[in-house]
Amino acid sequence: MFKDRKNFFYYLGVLTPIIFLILLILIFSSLHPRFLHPLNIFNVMRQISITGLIALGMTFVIIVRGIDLSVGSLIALCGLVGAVIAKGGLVERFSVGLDTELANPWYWALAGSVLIGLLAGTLNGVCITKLKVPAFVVTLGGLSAYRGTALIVSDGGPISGFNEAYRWIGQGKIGMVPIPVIIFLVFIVLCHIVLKYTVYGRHIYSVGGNPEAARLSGININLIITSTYIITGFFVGLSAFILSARLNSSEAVAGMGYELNVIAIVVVGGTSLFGGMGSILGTIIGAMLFGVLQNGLVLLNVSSYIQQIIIGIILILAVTFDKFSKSARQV
Amino acid sequence: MEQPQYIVQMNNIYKSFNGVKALKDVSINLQKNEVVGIVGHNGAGKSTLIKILSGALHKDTGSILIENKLVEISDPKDARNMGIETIYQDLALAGNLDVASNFFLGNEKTKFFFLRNKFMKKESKRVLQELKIKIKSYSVPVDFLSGGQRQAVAIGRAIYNKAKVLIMDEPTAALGIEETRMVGDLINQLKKQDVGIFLISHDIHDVFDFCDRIAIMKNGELVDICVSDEVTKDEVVSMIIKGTK
Amino acid sequence: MKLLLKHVFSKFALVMLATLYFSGIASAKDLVIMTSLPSMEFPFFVHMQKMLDQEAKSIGGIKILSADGQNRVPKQTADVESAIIQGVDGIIISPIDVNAMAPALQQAIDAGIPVVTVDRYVGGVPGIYAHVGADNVKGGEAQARLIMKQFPNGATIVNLQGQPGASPAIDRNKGLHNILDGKSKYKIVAEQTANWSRDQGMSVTENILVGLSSPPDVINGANDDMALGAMEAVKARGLNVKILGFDALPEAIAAVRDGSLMATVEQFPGGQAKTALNLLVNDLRSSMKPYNRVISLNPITITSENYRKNAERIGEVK
Repeated sequence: MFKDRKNFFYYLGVLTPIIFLILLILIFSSLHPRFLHPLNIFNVMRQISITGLIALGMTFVIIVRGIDLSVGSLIALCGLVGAVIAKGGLVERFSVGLDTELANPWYWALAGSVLIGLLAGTLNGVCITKLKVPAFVVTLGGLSAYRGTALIVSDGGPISGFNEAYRWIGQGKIGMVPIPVIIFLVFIVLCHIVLKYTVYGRHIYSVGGNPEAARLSGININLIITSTYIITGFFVGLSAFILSARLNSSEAVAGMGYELNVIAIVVVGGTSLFGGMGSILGTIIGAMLFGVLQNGLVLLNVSSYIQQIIIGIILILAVTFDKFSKSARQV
Repeated sequence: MEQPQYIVQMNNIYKSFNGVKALKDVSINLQKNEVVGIVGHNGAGKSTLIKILSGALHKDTGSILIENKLVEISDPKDARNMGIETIYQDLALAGNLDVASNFFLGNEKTKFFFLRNKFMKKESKRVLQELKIKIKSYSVPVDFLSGGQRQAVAIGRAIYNKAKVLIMDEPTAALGIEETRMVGDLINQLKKQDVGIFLISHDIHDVFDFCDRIAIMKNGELVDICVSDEVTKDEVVSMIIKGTK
Repeated sequence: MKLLLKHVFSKFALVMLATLYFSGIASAKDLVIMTSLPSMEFPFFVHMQKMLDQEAKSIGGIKILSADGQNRVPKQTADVESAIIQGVDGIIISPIDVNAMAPALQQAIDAGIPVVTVDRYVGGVPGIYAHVGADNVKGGEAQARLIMKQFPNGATIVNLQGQPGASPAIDRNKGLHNILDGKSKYKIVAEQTANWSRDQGMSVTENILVGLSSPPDVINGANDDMALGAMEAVKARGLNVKILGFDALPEAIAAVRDGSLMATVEQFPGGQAKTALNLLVNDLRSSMKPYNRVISLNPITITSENYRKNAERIGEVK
């Protein structure tokens, strides 16, 4: 299988996350009898679907050598805009419990949330490509500005209490499978196909691998780069809505620190921060790895201090192996 | 006497950057089936001249004729549409993609939005085999290939895109003896296919091995264009250094 | 109390006399007071700021310069430093960090500006004029006592902790353990952080519920957001678990009213803010020193029986 050493490390980099995941599953299932209980499996799946959806978009961004730090704040903003639309303003914003009358149906809230995501993604992309400001700086600005806007929209407080149809998106099930998981699966398939089997996907990889070569081949690299931020914005809008349906509430503090979780998922999944390499399947593995880790450590009632250490170590290990495969390419 | 068939004519080209003259009244031409080497020190104006032809830079004054037609080349895409392909030292390929993906980059073949990967692989294989190039593996990223193989992929791609003029910027700079010979063979094959080639090189031996004529540049000016069989290496080196015939 | 009134009255009279005497000089000029709270991202502090502004207006003649610490010590330090340069008359601050804010506040005191801390205290600065706060340890103890009262025969408890390392998280957790530790009838079956967030409150609860062979009797949250997240997780599983929050946010008060939450803990952020402002203004206007430099409000549990009477923010509950 491995023609030489270089190829061995290449495949090791690709397979590392899967090996880690299988190992973790084996360890947790032997330590806790209910780890492989279907209820728990769907729990993990549902929990990873929100960050996972954003990680799909982030995979596109990172493959073209970008980064989007604004996703966590944007979740709060999108979710709040959706909630404001559903509630028809800020009235009744403190009611929980039985009083869940909505002024507008859930799909208007979803549309509003996604629209804000798309707009913010476009803004990020245009600033990066047209104004030539590094993505790190633009989206760091976004991280602050979108959170601020969310605080203005919500006036510091949560907006909660949605009707059953709205909540169904976040809490409902078809058979045993939670709705967020179904949505996640659909977009996994879609993104995988786009990235692997379409011209657009091929251009994404080429821009990430060698932007200059892509430009000389007649590819509009600014358009490609901008589009990845728009895709991420779309997923942020979508998952913001799912999150608010799941929690039956939107608030300005939602999604705090998500950007780092999402980036960690993508990078552990084998997508290189240097661009040009990565896959949707890797990202799914990365998302599952973190989901399983967090779930398993809670099941085993490991202290939160130690949890942070373990998660940190796993992140570093996974990326270290990834670097092996990258350095194999440098020869 | 038969009129020579010029495929490229660059006449009286001037170019300056912020007042510094990079090219002063340079005229050069290229025939079909011909390899013209451009030599000179760093800063002599070789790259500037070639970038103007490939659309990466704009000339200040002067004219360019492609197949006897006056043209304006405003960007690399323009140049490509006119049949001018450039093979850069490092910029030619996306190292993370395989041979076929690079071969068809920006020109992918599709069917209902989906890439025809098998077809593209077959085509690139066919073209490269016709050029007698052996590629270790068609499914790994081209970064895994040797420098010569990558160079060959870039050249093969230019051929597939029906290049009439090929600009090669230091094609052998990073290559070993064996691979340099391979690129040399390739250049000879291309000549037979009616392609004209500009070759920029630091290596005086390569230039004498591959080129029909040699253009010597210094400080933005063309010192001389000689037929390579009529001069010695020492004469050329002296011209590069002194800047006079 | 009588003594205090007398004291106040005499000072007041004195000031009135002085004011009359120096008519043109002493009046007119507004007091400028700088307020600095840790982060306007948290409803708790948003409310506190609102109360400060409101109280300033009702006292009159006070100009509030409010600064948002954005949960970053350097930001809050810079805010204090610029307040010193502007020459404010007094500072009301809730320090982000107990130690890290000490140098800046010392600087203010050295510049002759009185500093009152609210809710959170600062260590190693003896010149602090006063501290007004609610004891988080006592709040945690109040949660524990309520659990014991509701489950006299014992209970299994899930403890959702705040952000690791944050002082309210440490204190509230300590209070809970102070009471429950050593009582074999009350067993903490799982103890995990949910980082103050509703989102994690829900997912951590989901995970814990799956892991336990039988559902717990009580889930105790170190803040309302986590408790409300746990509430959604419990609802989704259709279980009957009593849930406690902390902070008495309007949303939590509504949930207590509706019976979805068993209780939350009221720390009177508005009361703290008002007390702090009044102390400072009294001093500045009449050099009236407080008897006690540390004013600790006793946190109380808010349940369906007393929410109407005791919840500070009941007015915001629709």
